[in-house]
Amino acid sequence: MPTIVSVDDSTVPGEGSSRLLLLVSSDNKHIVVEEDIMSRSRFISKQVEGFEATSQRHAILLPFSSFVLNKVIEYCSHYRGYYLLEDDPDAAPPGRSPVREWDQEFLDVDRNMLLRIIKAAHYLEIKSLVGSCARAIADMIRGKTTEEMREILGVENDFTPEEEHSPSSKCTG
Amino acid sequence: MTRDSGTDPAAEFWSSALLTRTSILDEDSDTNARSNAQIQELLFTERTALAQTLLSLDAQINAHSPAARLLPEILAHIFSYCSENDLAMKRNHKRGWIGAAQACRRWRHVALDYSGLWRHIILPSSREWMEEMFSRSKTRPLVISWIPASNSWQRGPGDKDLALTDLIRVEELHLGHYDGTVESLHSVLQSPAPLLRVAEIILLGATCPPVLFDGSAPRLQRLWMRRCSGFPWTSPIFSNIVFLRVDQQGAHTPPPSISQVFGALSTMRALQTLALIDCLPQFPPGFDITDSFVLAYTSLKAVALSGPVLDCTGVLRHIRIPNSGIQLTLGCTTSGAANDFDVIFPLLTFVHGTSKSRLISFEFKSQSRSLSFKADKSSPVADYPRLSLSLEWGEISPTLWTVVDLIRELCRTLSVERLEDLTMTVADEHSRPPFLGSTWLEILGSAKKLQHAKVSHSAVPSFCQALAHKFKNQDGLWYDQLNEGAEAEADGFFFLPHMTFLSLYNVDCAHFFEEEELDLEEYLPMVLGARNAGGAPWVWMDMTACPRAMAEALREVTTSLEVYEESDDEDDSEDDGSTDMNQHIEIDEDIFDDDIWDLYSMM
Repeated sequence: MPTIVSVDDSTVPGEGSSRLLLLVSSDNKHIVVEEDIMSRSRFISKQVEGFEATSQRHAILLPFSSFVLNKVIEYCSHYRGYYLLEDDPDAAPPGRSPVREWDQEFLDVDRNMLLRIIKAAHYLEIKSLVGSCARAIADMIRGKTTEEMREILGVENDFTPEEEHSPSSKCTG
Repeated sequence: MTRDSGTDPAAEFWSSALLTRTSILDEDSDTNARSNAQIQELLFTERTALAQTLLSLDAQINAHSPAARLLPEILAHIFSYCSENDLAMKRNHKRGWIGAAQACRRWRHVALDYSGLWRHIILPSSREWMEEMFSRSKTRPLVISWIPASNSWQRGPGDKDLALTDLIRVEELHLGHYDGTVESLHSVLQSPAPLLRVAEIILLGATCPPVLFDGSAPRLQRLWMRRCSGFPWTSPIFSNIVFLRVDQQGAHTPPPSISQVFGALSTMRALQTLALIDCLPQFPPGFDITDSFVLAYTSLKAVALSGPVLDCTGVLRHIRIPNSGIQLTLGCTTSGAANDFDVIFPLLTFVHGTSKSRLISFEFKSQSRSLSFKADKSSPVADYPRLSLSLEWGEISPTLWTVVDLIRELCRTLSVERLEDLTMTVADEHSRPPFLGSTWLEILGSAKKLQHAKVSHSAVPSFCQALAHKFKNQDGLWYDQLNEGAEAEADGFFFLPHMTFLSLYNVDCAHFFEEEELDLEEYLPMVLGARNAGGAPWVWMDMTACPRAMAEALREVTTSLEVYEESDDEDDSEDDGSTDMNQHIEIDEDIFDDDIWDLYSMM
């Protein structure tokens, strides 16, 4: 039996609000959210277009936890109605997302959470959030030694001695 | 978390396995009587095998690491942000994405395979590195930054050959010039560039080739020629230009002809930004304007012109400003003739009359005078809520009145109604102020929203006079209230009612008191400003040149005055023991009593 999760204030539909979507997370939590909020996600938009074609309503199953999904919804709620160039499917994609102060605070989370958010944003095709997460990860490791960087990222040195001294290594280090 | 090896089953297992393995060697050594060296060699072999096993374990750990398992597309994003600062600073990538690519095998694999990272080539660089960059960028259009430093250029003349043979793939080109590279640079600038979209060339006074990019740069949108000598206006490459900046500062080349410049400009229908610095065509006095010569740009957003006033005016009058308006930057020079200022008035009148252009920067220089102001560039074009106005002038000539008139005209042109921030600087601190208090009221009378003002040198007294609206008219009569201008109200009127902070600096009080015969009783209310206002402004005053006794006197009587004193004179510091740089002192309501005047008189 799926758990019904109450939505937070920012996602409670009000008068004149858009249609509701049912999102199901990997931990089987059901989250109801307004379509408008999630319209920043190209993935969700495409799913909704598919619903309209079949005139049926479906839940959208997502491969990440409700905790991560709620973070993404929080992001989308914050920028509801905002125009962000990166999320405009008709605009030429900018090279990088600009620094947004709110995003920096929003993404002030631990490493694993940040990695989960960027994977979720990539899956949902929210380019502005992918860009902000990528900037946050780059900021975490910028200026660090290789060992410090590995510790921050939680990865081990799996290079063989030969690889560490290979020509490609010369190019990349 | 570190586990106790005595209770850790993994540690127990591997320790036991190692003992079993090494004991076999010992047993073998008994029968075969191996030497210690042989045993040592066998142990090295064991260690190598173990290291490989450990690597395999590390790889398995990474296989479960969220960071190491990121999708290549996501990693490419992260790498591109890692290189952000490198590209901005035009330095090599060692500290950016290349460093990040050392995290683990997978990150490196993605970095090596992602061609987008390899297309940004910063020269000079080693040949090995260059070849790798070209190869790994695959067929991507290149971004080449070639900024030779004095010595590094000499070391790597081959690099640019390697890079620029591929100019045909170049999308962005940022080229620097150094002595001895003119020929190479010319060969680059004369090569066809079918993909070129952005070109920024620094020539340091070197000449341009007669035709840029062999006349073939069909995608060129942004062209910035910096410090070039001459510009090939006849090159047929401007049809898609949206940004053109030609800077011939200090080149001392003959001006181009009107037909050359306007012939080229007429092909730039999509132009958004035009900046011509010291390369304006020469407009003869009385040049007749015909409609066919007026260029209409629907997308134009910004124009910057620098050169003789007549030529600035000439170019502006031949450009039809779009309804959306433009930002205008003007830097005017004259030959220093007596009628220098006179020639500016038609220009400013023209700008003022063209409500669609917003003057954001103006600079005027002649042999004897200079005057400039700059708007805060962060201000939106359509408004000036954060405008910062700065006026400067140097040697004051006998035609002072024209300076005042000019400033008055500038303020009219600027529409200072929404001015919030004012900076007034006078270069010559001992020059007699060209402003009277009434002049300030006249030119800033409509700046009702001014909140912050920084005023210096000889402009201080008149500004303070205006604040307290206590000034003399031309006949030497005192005005205690603004009785002209119609907007004043008899009671409670305060010039600049929103003023919250006033900074007065480089004030040579002694000079003004002694040379200008301003008495303290008159001056103090000027400094302290609106004593009758509902909320008096904060006043910050640099008292460096103020007589110490007067500074003390001011300290005793002010609440809203913060006094800054430099205490680099050790003796003085010891004398009065005051080391506090910014003091906030309580004020006595009756601040202008006779005691202070007595204090000043005794100095």
